[in-house]
Amino acid sequence: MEEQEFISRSQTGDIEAFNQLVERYQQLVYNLARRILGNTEIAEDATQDAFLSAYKAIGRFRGGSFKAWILRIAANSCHDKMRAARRASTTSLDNLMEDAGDFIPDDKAESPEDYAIRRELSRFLTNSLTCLPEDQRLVVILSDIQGLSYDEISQATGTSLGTVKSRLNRGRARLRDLLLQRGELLPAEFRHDK
Amino acid sequence: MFAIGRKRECRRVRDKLSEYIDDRLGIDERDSAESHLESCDACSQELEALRMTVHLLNQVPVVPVPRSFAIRETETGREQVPGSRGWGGPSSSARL
Repeated sequence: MEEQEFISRSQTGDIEAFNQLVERYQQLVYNLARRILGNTEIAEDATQDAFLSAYKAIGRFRGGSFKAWILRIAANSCHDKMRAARRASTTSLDNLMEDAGDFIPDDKAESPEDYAIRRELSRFLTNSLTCLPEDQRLVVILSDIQGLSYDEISQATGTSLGTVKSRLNRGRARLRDLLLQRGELLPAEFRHDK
Repeated sequence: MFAIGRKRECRRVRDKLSEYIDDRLGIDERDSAESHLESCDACSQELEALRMTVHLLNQVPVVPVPRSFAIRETETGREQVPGSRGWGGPSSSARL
């Protein structure tokens, strides 16, 4: 069945049709939340909240890219979680950052030392992402991790193409600067001291 | 005077490096950037480091979902009403 059919049926209250859309987009939404929030448990909550919000709001979906629409709801859900964490006096997302063990798959061909360095680089890159301002972080994740086009990002963030370009440029540049401070973690081809 | 002009040119090109990597510059802008990059080691190094950053981000793998996020009727707080449209949403959707 085509996506539009699931959307139309969802708009009449067909929860099974909506769950077909959930099945199709849950990996994308969960990964966005996981990378923005850096915490599995909160990312799960944000993902569930996003789909619940989407179900309640789908009557107002007026066409265009459903993918961009659901990602926008997911980004808002993540924003709500971050705001809630900031308000909580005893908890901040920084304290909830997890080990990035899920970040890079095991490569049987490499040595334990190389794997350890790659894992450390992964952890550093993940943590660095959460150091970016929220608007830049979102655009970098959508572009460079999730592979969305500038147009799709513009729709998903509700901002102009110019804003997308500017945030992407600044976010990437900030990450680059952070990475260069940890030159010992970089792959050999990127090290200046090789 | 020359140094100030050069610095301004570096800043202009560095602001466009991200779009350059993504091949989003127009022909004139791209040619202008490439002309500068050929003669400016500092900006060329910035470009390569930026490419490395994007390359590393591109390698971030997809995380498998820990569970299904299918919603249940009991979670919606609403009865299923066939044909109904325009449901209101909580904060996340209200800002759409």
